[in-house]
Amino acid sequence: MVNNENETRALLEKADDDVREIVISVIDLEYAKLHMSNPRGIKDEIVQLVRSVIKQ
Amino acid sequence: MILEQIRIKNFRQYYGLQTVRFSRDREKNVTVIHGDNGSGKTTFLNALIWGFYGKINLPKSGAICSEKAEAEAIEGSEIEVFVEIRFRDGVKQYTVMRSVKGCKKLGKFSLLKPDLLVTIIDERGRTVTPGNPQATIDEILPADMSSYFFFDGERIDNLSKESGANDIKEAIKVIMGLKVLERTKDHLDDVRKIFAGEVKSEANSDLSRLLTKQEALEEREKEIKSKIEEIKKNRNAAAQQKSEVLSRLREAEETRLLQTQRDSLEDQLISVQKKIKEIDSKVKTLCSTRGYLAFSGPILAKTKAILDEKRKKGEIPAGIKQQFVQDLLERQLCICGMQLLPGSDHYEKVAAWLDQASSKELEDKFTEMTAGVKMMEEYRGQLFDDLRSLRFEREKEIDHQQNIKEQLDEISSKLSEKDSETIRNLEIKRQELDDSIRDYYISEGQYIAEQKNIVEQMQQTEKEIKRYQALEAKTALAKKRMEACAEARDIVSSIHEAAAIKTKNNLQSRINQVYTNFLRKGYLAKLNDDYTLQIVKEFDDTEKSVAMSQGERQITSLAFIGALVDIARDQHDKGKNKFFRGGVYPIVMDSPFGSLDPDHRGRIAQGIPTLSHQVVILATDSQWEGDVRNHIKNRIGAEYTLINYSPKSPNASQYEYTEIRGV
Repeated sequence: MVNNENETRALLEKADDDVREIVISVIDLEYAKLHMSNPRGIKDEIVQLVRSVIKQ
Repeated sequence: MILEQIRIKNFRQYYGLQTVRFSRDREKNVTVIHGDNGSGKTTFLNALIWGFYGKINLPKSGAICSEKAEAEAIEGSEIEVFVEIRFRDGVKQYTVMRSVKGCKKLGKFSLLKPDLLVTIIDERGRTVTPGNPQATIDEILPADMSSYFFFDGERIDNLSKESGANDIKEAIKVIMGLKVLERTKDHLDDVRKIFAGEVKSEANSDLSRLLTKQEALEEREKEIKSKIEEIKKNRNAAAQQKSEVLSRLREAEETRLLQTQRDSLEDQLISVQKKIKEIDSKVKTLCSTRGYLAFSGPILAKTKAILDEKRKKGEIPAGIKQQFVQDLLERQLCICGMQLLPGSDHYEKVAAWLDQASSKELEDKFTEMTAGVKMMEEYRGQLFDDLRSLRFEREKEIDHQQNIKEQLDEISSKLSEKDSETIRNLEIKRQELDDSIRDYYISEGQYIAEQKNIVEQMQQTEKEIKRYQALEAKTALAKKRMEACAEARDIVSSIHEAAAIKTKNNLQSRINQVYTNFLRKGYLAKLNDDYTLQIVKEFDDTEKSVAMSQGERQITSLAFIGALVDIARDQHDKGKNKFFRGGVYPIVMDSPFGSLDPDHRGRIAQGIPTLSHQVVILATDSQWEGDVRNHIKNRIGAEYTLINYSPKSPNASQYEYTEIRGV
């Protein structure tokens, strides 16, 4: 468990570029859909996102 | 979000067009709207809520239009009801217009479907109209969060009751970005499971089995190749020996003639065998190109019979052509001179011939088909003739071949019966070598057949290997994606845990900062682990829980909202955190002083301006005047009063309505 913001940042920076991109992009996506009364297909969008980030 | 202006027209008790311009001053950040009981404070709050979200939290929520406007409406004319809110978010200016039209027909008033329009003026002055206006509003101030910013002050004390813990928890999660992290974590785990389903462990063992099989096939093919080479070598050696034996037979005086005859016969045999092959090839070509004709007899006979029948009946070719009948009808004149007026008896009788007359296209096709059938019959006959001729030719060559073979056997017998032992041995040797060469050919054929089969198996296995290799690559990719999701989920989980602790500590500290503006000295507000709010009193370094009165609960809840708004604004101003973006929210409070004693009222009045960068207070005149006004007066940027007209009020009116006037 991390205890502060610096450790959080360090944890993210230590991760692979792909993982970092996934974390940031998924959070962006969740923010965009947070207040939608009926957000559809968010999991499908994340699957597509992960596929496009990790192509091979 | 900074509220700039609201325009209300004919909404509930607001008659005509009413406008409020909110204070946007940083110091004088309070807009106060006051009036008598029932003058329309709560309706004003609901005008904001309806404008943004299309909901009304009042009895008779369907009654949107002003009673007075309805009563004054002329039969058949339209009345416009709207709430228009102008606000700024960042560098953009938004105008939200929710409107509905009403109409009186036969004395009955009805409303159409409300309409929502959002226009945005961006930093370059361009005007944009978003396609989904409600989503645009929700992005800035979501409906599920609005109750923390636009609220009834008398009911806000619910937040500090135990039953309000869930609401608080939810508000903290949404406003502080924890909800996003929770969803991210859960969705990443769901997606990880989806990729886990794509990982097929059996692919590896199948591929390994196929690779072993392919290796064995390659080994066997190599062995066969080597065998074929060996056979060819032995056969060539036998052919060489045979050639030497034949040379000796040609050279010997007593066998020369017989051997010369045998050489000639063997040449003939090769020629005959070549001819037989050529005939077989011709038969194959005939069967593959024209073989279908052999089976076309019944269909040709049936087609011919149908065509003959039509001809015999005189249906095709018909005596009268459709074109001829058509011309008569167009000219409206029969060949007998009778006029053919459309609709007349004569016209209909001539027109009936159109069904019996034949068209040119049909007759052309009939002729074409008749010729076609005849031609096919001729081709069919030719095919049988050709096949018969080739069979005859082949039989002749087979007889010839048999005859040559018999002559060769006879020569061989004669040579085997010669007195000379050397000659006899040479002939025996020749026969043995001939047998060997034939055996080598048979053996080579068998190996070639096996080799062909193995090559086919190898090609098939190669295809399967490629398929499994692709599958294995896909599996490896799915595994990589699955692991990335798991790692991302763990990172988000850690961020979430850290953010939850930080948020709680941050909130606790902010609540106390805000709380000191409201509460008696020595009292502290505490946010427990289960997110319940509690007031404690400090006694010699110890904290003692204090039971809360309704006023204290109201104060505590306001402090909580103030702290949330403060942190969200702080984070929004920093603007760099990816995980908690914050926001700027105004606070609109209806009757925040309702049930408070004068002491609490005064302290709340002091603290309210610090709750948000923009505060709108809706209060009764009696609550507002006196201490409350004195505490806030230096922070008031805009002030309005609500003038209510009703049958009972001093400003008597048949219908109740309210006007807003600036003070």
